[in-house]
This record gives sequence, structure tokens and C-alpha cells, in this order.
Amino acid sequence: MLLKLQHIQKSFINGRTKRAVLNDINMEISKGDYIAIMGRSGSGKSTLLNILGTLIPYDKGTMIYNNQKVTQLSFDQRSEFRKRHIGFVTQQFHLLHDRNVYENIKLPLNFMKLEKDKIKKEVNKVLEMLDLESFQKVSISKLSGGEQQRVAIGRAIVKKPDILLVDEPTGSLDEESEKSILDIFDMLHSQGTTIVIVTHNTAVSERCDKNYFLKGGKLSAPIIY
Amino acid sequence: MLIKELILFYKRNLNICLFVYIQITIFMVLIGTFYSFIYDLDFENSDMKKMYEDNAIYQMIDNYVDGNEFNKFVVQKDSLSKLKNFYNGLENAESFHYITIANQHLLITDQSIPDKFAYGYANGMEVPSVNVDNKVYKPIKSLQINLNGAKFFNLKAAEGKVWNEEDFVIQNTMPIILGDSYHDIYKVGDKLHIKYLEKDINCIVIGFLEKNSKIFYQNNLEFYLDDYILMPMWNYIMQPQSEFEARYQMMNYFNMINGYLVTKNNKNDINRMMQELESISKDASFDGYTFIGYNPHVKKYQDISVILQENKNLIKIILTMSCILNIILILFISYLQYKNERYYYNVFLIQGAKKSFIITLKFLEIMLIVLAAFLTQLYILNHLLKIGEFATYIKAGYIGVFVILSYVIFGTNLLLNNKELKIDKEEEV
Amino acid sequence: MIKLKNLIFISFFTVVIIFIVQIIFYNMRQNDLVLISNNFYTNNYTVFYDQDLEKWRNTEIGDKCRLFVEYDNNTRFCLENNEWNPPIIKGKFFSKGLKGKKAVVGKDIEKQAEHLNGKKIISLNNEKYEIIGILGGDFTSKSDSLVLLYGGEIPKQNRYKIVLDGDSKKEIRNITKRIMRQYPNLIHAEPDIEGVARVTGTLFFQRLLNLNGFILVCFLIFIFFAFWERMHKKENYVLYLLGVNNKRIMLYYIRNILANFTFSIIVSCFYILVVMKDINILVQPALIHILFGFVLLSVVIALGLLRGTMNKNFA
Repeated sequence: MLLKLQHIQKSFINGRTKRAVLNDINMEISKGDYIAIMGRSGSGKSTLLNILGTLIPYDKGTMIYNNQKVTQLSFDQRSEFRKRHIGFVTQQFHLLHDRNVYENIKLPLNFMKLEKDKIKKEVNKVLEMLDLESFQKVSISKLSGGEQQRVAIGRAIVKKPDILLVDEPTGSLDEESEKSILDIFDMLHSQGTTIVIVTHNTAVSERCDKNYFLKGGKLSAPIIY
Repeated sequence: MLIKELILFYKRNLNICLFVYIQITIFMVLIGTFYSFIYDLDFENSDMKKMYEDNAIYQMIDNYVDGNEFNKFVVQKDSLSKLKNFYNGLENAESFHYITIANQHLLITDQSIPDKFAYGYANGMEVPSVNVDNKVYKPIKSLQINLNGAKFFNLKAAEGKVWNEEDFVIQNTMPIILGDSYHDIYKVGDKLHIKYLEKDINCIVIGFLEKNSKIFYQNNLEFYLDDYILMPMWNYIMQPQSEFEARYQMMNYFNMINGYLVTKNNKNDINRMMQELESISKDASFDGYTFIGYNPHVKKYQDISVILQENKNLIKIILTMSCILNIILILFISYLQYKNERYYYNVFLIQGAKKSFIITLKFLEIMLIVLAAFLTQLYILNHLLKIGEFATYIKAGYIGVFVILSYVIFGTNLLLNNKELKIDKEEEV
Repeated sequence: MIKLKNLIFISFFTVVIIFIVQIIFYNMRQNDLVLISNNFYTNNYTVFYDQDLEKWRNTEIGDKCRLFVEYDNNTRFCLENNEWNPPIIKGKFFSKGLKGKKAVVGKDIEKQAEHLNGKKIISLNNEKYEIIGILGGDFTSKSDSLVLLYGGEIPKQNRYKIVLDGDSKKEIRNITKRIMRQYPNLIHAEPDIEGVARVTGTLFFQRLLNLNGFILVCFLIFIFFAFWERMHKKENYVLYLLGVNNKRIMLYYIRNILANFTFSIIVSCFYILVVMKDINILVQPALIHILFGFVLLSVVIALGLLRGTMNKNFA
């Protein structure tokens, strides 16, 4: 078991009202899992993903990683955890438009104090894997949606994370681009990467091994395919 | 990696960085100039205070204005020695300082000297050419002053030096000091040949006074020396060897016994001064002087002092408002920058960057701009405007420290106190 | 109910307008100090010596210059003043078309004046001059012994000292050149400037403060409107989505900006009248010109930024 959530609760305060988004979430992620988390808009899928990625803290509960209790971490501790173990792909890609493809993919490795040669090697590997070699010097703003999504995936996997968290990967893509992105996730999964995808698209969830449904702040039992 | 990120930051925000650089440079130059200005103002004030406050200054003139009286005195056998003894008594007095100034013009052969230096120019007199022994001379403004006078008025040299005691001992070459306006005409070390009271004198330029050097003379607290040649009043101890020399010395000493007596402005000191003066007069057997016991200097000094203070207060108000607005501008820019850069910082943090990395990056971003502004300010104040001293530039640099701190604290606080790390859609570039 | 956005706008620009007013006030006061400490001459004045006075009565000196004849160090006759307004504590200065023998004197002279038929009088060469104004500042200065006379007979002298003064050094130089070309035998001398401008680096600092003020105000306008444009980005987009065309959006913002500026100016006037207690500043042409330019510049920058955003986002 890689990551375990026990009785996780999360609320948001908006002015004077408190809105409970996640209510007693229990979830287990094993190495090599290919998970889809589904639910209606506003059900808390992205919130759950952000908690998994330590982007936001939770109110109550326990998170266990590799049999170690990961209680409420400090800001820097969360950064460190994220750096070592988590790869994140967001719906809007969140690439840096003032640099090219190579520089964007290289970004996480800059924070890991690796040698220049090693960094180059890893980035080139990812470029090759995602068929982006010919684009490495191209500026992000000149790429299509599908190409940008591939760069975002490349950035997330270049540091070989334990878990890859993906938020609505195909929300803004056409059918052809959607297929090619999902093929990439299939390939990564076949190489042993643990992937958790948040989606409301059945075309995505059908490719995953386990499907969870989030409703009323509660996570259903997984449906295993 | 920091350097690369810095380069990318400056590329992205070139316009606003230039903006900030120009604004901070001007702000620092303003503060530096202000400190220098206030320092000069206070210095001027304290200089004048030292001279005039608590001091009683009495004018003394000789009684031989009338030609007949003058001739009657001059033909006396011991008239010159009486004048010398009287002057020496005044010069060495213990209960007061004796200041003597004369504005006897000198003659110079150099006709190329501009008319503004000519004697009588300011009063609209035509500048005559004086013909002596088949040589054409130009009468030039000059002042003769004794050592006490030079010390009292705190004359300072911008180049070269001012007199010391040795320069008041008679020598072959007379050391002269020139006003600031002579800078383009002569330099330190230049030798001049002048005719003063019909006597040929060789002079050497030993220094130039600071611009706008002034003394109190002819009832004017602002008697500026920029256009003057200053000569030391020599004490001619030796006996004159000829009638010409005797006449020359006589004229000098008649100038030298007209002057000002300076003592502390209290009854005791003034009484002592009076008594000593009487004693000097008795010893020298010379009583041909009139003592003017009124004191206009203090009031005049106070007038200028009040105006300087008024000026200072006025500038302080404007400067305070300028500072407040500059601070508001810096805060606005910090906020806009925070909005612009938050996206990038959030992406870094998601990728595993630490707080310290972000803070260091923010610090360097602004510090380099402030450093550039500081160096520019240093160059402008030191080389271009040539005002202020090192301490002034450092004080101006405090602005830079404030800017860096406010930028980093304000921006980083907003960014990193936010526990929820997410990137809103509207933050997208 | 004023929205927060508009309140920020009004507050900010009230502060900026007050700053501009303070700079104008500073310049006025600084010029007064320079005058008072330099015997009521500016730093631009120049001197002529002439035996003939008559030609000076008809000499053309332009609208911004003035002509005096110095009788002695403290007394001068005013030949031409062209609506000059020196610092006056009480009364007024000589105006164009003034009739009779009038005097404007320093505080110390006023104390020595005679009283005749309810008027204060001073005499010079058996001529009586009515004192119509008191020169100077609210502190003592050497100008307190000054006497400026108008309308009387100027005592005959072997040589008259004529002083030409004005606010523009360039104009004084041009007039001097013209006069010297016309009368080459005239004696012309550059006088020694005295007072606060020479004792300290006041004039240089004044120019620096003015430059700083100008650049600061320009920067402030630009940065504020960059900030303001960000505040209105969403609103802008919504108006665009609703189908409102660019022209109408621009007009909407122009009205908004001008309304806010009006409030700012009203609050500033209130400050000037109540806190500074100086109504004279309000009627200064410099203030009116500067404020007009300032509002125009702001509108142009604001709309420029908005248009830039519109073109970028809605293309």
C-alpha cells in the first residue's frame, strides 16, 4: 500500500458559512494502481486530489504514506514531500509561457539538485517518450492544446514520482488529442506508474482499473475492472 | 537556477523593472540632495552662529578722513611707528580679536581679465586703463585681510590652501588667494606681478576659495569673494629704507587700523575690551581712532538665519509628501508585481520549491534593481552634481533598504501566508 | 453609495492633487523667499548705468519684466511693473494705471511713517508718498527697510542705476541684448546675487523637487491606472459578453473617471481652504493648467490601457 487516507474531512469557509466538501473520506492507493475519481461538478474531486498532492491541508483525519503517518505538514515539508513523491498534471496545464518545452519539462529537476548531465538525460528520455523531441526549443505559446498537455505530463513524470495525480486531463481537448493523451497514461501505467485521475469523462474512467465515485462528500467503494 | 530565473524575470518584466529603477534612482538622488542641502544649510547656520551669536562686534575707524588732519599726522616723525605699535597692540590683544579688511584695488598688466573683475565694475564705473611707467594696467578688485579675519570668517579653500601664520611673514613672493570665479583664468602655483599702492609685488596663487565664500564687510553680511583677489595684510616690522617705502607702509597701516573688534557679548568682556584698547592706545601714543559701538551684525545674521530656517521647513514638507507618495507608488508596484508573479511562484511551489527559494528569488529580483539605482545615484551625486559626501549617499541608500524590505515582506507575506496553494484561472498568463 | 473602487480612486487622486498643490505652493513660497532675501530682486536681475532717464520710460520690456531706478540701497522708483505681485503682507502693490504718488514699504519703514488725513505717508525730497502696501514676509529680513516708490519725481542724479528684473532669465538676456544693440555706449553690469538662493543650493534643489514631482505624478498615474484596469478587467469582459460595443464601454469609463476626478478636486479644494487656508492658490493659472493637464493625461492613460486590454482579450 502506497498511500492511505483515513477519515479525511475538509470544509471551506465562505464569509460566515462553512461548507463541508469532504466528509469522512477513506481511500487506499497501492503501487501500480490506475484510479479514476468521478463525480458531478462541485462534488469535491479536485479538492480530494489537492489533498492527495498536499497542495491544501485537510481539517481532520490521517494520511499515511508508505506506512508512515503523514500528519499535518508544514509548508516546506509539503513542498519536500511533493517534490519527492508526487507528480501533478492540472486541467489548465499551468506551463510557463516565458520558456520553451525543454525548460518546462526540466523545471522540477531544477529543485532536486541533480547534475547537469543527469538532468539532460532524464529530460531527453521524457521528450522521446512523449514524442516531443522536435518541439524542445519551441515556446509553449506556439503549441496546441494536446501538445501542451503532453508537456505538462512530461513535467510531472520527469522526476519519476511515486504517484501521478491528474486533474481533468481531457477537459479542453478534442477527441483525437484525448485519445493520444489517454494512450500516454496507459503506457505510463504499463511501466508501473501509479496514476490517480479525477474526471467526469467515462472515456477516461473506462481505461482505469479502479473507479471511485464522490457524492455528498463521501467516496464510494471502488469499482474494480 | 536562481540566476536563470532572475534573467527570465527581468525579461518578462523589463518595462516595470525600468520604471522601478528610474523611480528609485530619482527618489534616492532627491534624498541625497536633500541631506546635502540640509547639511549645507545647517552648516551655514552654525558657521554664522559661531561668528555672530553671543559676539559683540565693534567697528573702529581712524580720525584722519580729513586731508588736512591726515597730512598733519603723517608729517610727524614717529607717525609710522605709532601706527605700527597701535596695530601690533590690536593684533596681539588678549581680550578681543582684531579683524581688519581693506578693499584697495590692485593693478595688473593682464588686459584679458574680464571686466567683471575690474574695480568699480559693479558700480557701473567705466574700467579705465592705468598707464604707469609706459605699462598699461587694469585695476582689479582685491581685498586685504589679516590672519584673524581669515580665521574668523572661516575661509576655506576648494583648491590649494588658505593662509597660515607663515604666509603673514614678509617674504619675496606674496601668497594670494583667488575667488572661485578666477578658476578659468589662473591655477594654483601661477605667478602674478601686480602693482599695489604703487609698489611692485610678485605674487603666487596658493589657493582658490570655495564658491560663494563670503564675509561681513561694508555693512553687508553677504559680501561675496568670488570675484576678488585676496591679499594677506603683512606686518612690516622692518624700518622703511626709502621715502617711497615709508609712504607705502603708512598707507598700509592706515588701512590696517580700520577694522572690527570682536569679543563676547557680555558686560565684563566688553569692559575688558575697552580697557585694553585704551591701554594699547596709550602704549602706542596713538588716539586717532573712533569707536563705533553699535552692533548690527547679530540682527542681520538672525534675519538670514530665519529665512534659512523658513526655507528648510518648506522643503521638509514637500519632501515628506514626496516620500509618502513614493512609498505608495512602491506599494502599488509591489502589489501589481505580486499579482503578475504569483502564477509563476505557485507553479514553482507545486513543483517542490521551498519558501526560502521564493523569498530569495523575490529578494534578489528587487535587490539588483535597488543596487543599480543606488550605484546610479552615487554616480549622479558624486560625479555629475558633485554634491554631498559619502555619508549622504549611504543615507540615500536607506531608501533602497526600505524598498527591498517592503517589497519582499509585502509580496511574500501575501503569497506564502496563503495556506491554500492553488492557481486560479484568472492568474493564468 | 460610493463603491470601494471609486473610493480608492477618489482618495488616491485627492492625495495626488494635494501633492501638486503643495508643490505649487512650495514654488510660490520659495520664489518669495528668494525675493525677500535678495532685496526684492529675482536671481535674473541685471543693472544698467545711464545719465539719461527719459529713454527708459519708453523702453519696451515686455509683459513679464519690470524696471526700477535705484535711488540708494534701500529706495527705488518703479518705472514699469507689469502686474508684478511680490510678497505683500498688507495692502497691495502698484497696479497698472495707478494715479498719484504711492509707496510700498517694508515693516520697519511703516513704523516710521507719518499719519496724514488717515493715511500713512513717507517723504522723499519734499515729496509725499502714500503707503498702499507693506512688503516682506512674516519674519524679519533686510527687506523690512525697503522703500518702493511710484509716480513721484525721480531726483536728478549724475548717473542713474537702472534695474531690469523679471521671472525669465532668457527674456532678461534678450532684452539686455536688444538694449545694448540700441545703445552701445550704455554701461551694463551683472550684479551679485544675494540671499537664500546663493547661500544654499536652493534653486537647484527646487528644480530637482519639481522634476521629481513631475516624474512621480506621471508614474503614479500610470501605475494607478494599471492597477485600476486590473480591477475593472472582469467588469469589462462582462460588458463585452453582453454585447456592449467598445465605444460605449469607453464612454462609460470616461464618465466614471471624470466623476471621480470631480470628487477628488472638490475634496482637495476643501483641504486648501480649510487646512492650508490659502485661497490664492486656487486662482493660480499654474494650478488650473496643471490640473487640466493632469486630468487629461490620466484619462488618456486609462483609456489607452483599457483599449490595450480589449484588443488583447477580445481579438
